[in-house]
Amino acid sequence: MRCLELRALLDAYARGSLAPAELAAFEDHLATCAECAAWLDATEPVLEGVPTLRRSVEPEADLWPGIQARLAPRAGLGLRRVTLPGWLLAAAALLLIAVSSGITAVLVRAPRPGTASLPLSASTLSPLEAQYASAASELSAELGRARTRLAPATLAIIERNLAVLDSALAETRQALANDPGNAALERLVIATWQQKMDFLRRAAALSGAG
Amino acid sequence: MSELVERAQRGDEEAFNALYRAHVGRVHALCLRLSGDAHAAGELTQDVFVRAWEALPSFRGESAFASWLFRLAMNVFLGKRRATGRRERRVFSTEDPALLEQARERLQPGVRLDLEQAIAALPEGARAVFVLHDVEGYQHGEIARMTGIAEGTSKAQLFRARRLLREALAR
Repeated sequence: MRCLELRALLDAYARGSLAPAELAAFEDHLATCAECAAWLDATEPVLEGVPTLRRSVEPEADLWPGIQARLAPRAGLGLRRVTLPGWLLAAAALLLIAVSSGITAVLVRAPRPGTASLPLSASTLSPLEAQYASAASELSAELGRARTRLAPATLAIIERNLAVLDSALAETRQALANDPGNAALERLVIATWQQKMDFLRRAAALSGAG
Repeated sequence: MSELVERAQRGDEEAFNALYRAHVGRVHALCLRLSGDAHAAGELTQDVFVRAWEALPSFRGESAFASWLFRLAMNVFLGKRRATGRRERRVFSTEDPALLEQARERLQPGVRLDLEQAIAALPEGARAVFVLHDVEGYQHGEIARMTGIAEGTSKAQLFRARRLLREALAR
């Protein structure tokens, strides 16, 4: 679409009467033509009343009782350092399998981009992260005790990969902290935990831990 | 990080209530304008604070709590909008601008449409872009990233919103 064509279609666009192909061409042109974007902005400048709109509007009724009723006791994210005997690894692995299956189900059910997508709620995310953190902690401890049985080169590979996974996890959690409630990031955090746990499990099996 | 936020992070409901009192007006104003409906805005505001409570452990204080909460509110709105789907949207959130007039009559029969009412009656996509850009000051690139639309669509929707508002207010 050329600039003049776009300008001829303004009224039809505002009224929502463009055919789908015309609409796509209209929006595509705007994405790449700074001149038309500026022209459009000048054609319909900011309305005078906008700066006077109230920045704060109290709800008509107090919403707090409804909110308070929904506040669940928060699941802590801190790692529970529990010293357990040798059967610990098996228990942690079982937990991992259970949690991973649940998460896999969540991920598999996650809709494709562009379709309706329900956010994985934080009330679901936090307890799952807590379980992952707990299981990862125990697996890491067990792996640490078995490190003498691993060749130095193998150990170096494991540590390097764990560092990459931890870095990815920190990055995705940071992104989620900056963009709270972003459903895609929440799923990414869980997927990263899942990768870390899968790796830890393989490393533990390799070391003969447990 | 403020003491109230730290206390709320540790699970102190009283501190969270104080945060709610301090920020509810701002969050509700956003929800009201994005949803275009007072009842939906009340529900949305509740959802935002419930999610804020759940997500507080991940808040590290690198941005102001108000900015964090505001961003969360937008994500809650956008998540709900995606989940709800077009079929459940309000009747005058369609692409038919003739419904602006119906909305006007429904909102205030015989009374001139004010800006808030006219915003509420905009088609949903145009309303969201207008609120985020002209009212809240976000740039088209940010809006595109947040809402999942192309930047050109954001610019076009803003033009459309301004044009429809100007027409509605001139009647």
